[in-house]
Amino acid sequence: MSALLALLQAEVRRLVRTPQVYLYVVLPALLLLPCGVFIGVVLLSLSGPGQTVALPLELPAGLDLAGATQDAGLHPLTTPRPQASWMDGEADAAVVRVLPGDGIASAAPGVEPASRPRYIVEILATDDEVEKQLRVAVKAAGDHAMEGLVSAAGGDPDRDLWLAELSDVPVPEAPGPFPLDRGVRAYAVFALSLVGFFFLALTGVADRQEGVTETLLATPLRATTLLASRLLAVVGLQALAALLLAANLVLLLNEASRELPLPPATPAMVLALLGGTALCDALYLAIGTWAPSAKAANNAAGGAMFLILGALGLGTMAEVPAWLPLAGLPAADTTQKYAQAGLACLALTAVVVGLTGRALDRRVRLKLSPERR
Amino acid sequence: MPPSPVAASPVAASPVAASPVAASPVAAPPDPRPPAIEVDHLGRTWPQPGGPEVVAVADASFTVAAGEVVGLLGPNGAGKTTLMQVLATLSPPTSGTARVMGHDVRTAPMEVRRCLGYLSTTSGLPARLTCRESLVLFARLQGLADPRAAAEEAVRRFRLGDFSERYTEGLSTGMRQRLRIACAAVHRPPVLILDEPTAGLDLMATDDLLREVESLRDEGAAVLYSTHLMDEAEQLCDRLAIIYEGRLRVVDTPAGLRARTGANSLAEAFRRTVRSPVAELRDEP
Repeated sequence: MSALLALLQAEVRRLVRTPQVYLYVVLPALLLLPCGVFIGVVLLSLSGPGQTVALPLELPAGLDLAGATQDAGLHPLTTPRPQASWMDGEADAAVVRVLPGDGIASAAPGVEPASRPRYIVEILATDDEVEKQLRVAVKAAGDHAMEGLVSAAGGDPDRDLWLAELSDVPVPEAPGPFPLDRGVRAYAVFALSLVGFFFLALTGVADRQEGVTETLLATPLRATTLLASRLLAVVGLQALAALLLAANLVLLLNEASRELPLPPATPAMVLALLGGTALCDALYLAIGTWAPSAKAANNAAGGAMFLILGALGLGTMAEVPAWLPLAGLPAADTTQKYAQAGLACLALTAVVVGLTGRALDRRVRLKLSPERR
Repeated sequence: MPPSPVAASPVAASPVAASPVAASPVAAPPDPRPPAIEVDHLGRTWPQPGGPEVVAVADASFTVAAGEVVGLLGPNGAGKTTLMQVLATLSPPTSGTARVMGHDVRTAPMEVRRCLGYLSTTSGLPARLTCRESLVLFARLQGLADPRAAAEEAVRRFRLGDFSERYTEGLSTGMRQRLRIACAAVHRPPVLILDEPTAGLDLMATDDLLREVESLRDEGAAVLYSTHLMDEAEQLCDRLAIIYEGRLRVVDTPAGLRARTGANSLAEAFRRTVRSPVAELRDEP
């Protein structure tokens, strides 16, 4: 255990001082949010302005039609003559007039206060689609105005105000939980496993080439301990990358939907995904230990990458048992299945590391080009 | 320098396995010191697909006592590195036995490594660690109770103070080699195996390194030292073992080797030893 801790500490130091770690792992994770915002802005600019709605200059106080139309994806155009703008083709829809309405106060005085403002909004639209969008926007503006009135009167809009729904207009659904479905889970494992490609397969070969492995194994150290320390250090780095990515993702999603959506059984899912990542790492570690040359390691790691992709793809597209290493990860959706998938991956990881360590203890492939004479 | 004891060191057999020539032990008084390294009919072969196995080391026998430096000389590909790797438990022997401080390299490799410091031409140090961190790492791997104190002691002994906080990859060749020896000897092992430690070093760095090896020897370490430099071997080694084509041809003191071959210099003695038939190397009664 002492040797494992000593090596783990050294490996972590080496990783922390490796510029590529920041270039390939930390920086991409940190750049997710600004890149996402940038891409969103570019896409919005490419999509062009939405349908234009002509609005009158004078609107009742508290009725924010301009803001509501913008929220509905429409482009407001305030003009003294909305109807003329619509007829001239400057706008796709128009709010012609906003008239005071009677409401139901006179008929049912106990239900609605007489002072409550009600409006009749006359609209014109080129087609049904923009009309529906405008009706949604008008209702939203009215609801917002009512919320302001209730709050000003000392009430709680969530408790005291019941907002009607537009029965004949399909209201767009609010953004639901982020669809962290099979594909995203598979992608997460694959993306994190690339860290192992760089820092286990390739550096494993480099350490053998430079005689570092030989020097370490000339001390009373079991090869399995050496391999385990390298694996744990890289898994730690991947956990850090996953943490940064998750934090960024939450920020990005919050920016987009103002909700914090989490898939079911999130803790179990995270642990299972890290287990899958560890299995990928073990494969790369074995390649770094066994490959007879740097070129062979590169080729074998490329093959392993396709193997990993294939297993994850199988689990993404087909119903496979959760205990199937790697393939079971994308298909899992409950705590129990995540536990099965994660444990299966960890068990296979232990087998791969153990066999590789035993082979290294027998000095099967200590050097890239063993001296024969 | 301590006296040049000649232990019970048999002269190697013929280079042709099919027609062995009987080895004749060098006539010398038995060494009173217990051997730190005992090699007895050691062999190491490599399988070769579709052909006869490659014989890297065949039937090697010699000893190294505590406080003695034995130089291992031989042309490139003679089997020096393989022999040292077997003793360092980095490559298992295929025949014979080898013991380091009484521990068999085959059956007790961990015990062997605890009392061994090994440095080869291809030894590397983990990158992106400072000298001090490297020393602490090796001290911890050797299971020392106070690895930091051992590292500090190594920094002082090997005069690494000015470089102790520098990363290993930023050191000059000479400093890096000095650090490698410091890492190999951080636990003060009773046995050191040094495979061409001065390769690539300039004269001053070589002198520094030789002084350090002499210092370790004077502290009682048994040193097996391979080199291609005859001056170095003559200056440092108490005895020389010459290996050629995987077989130990002779083990003797530098003076004894010159006398045995009738050569004026060690270099000439080495050439004659390598080129002579084994029978000519026998000690005449």
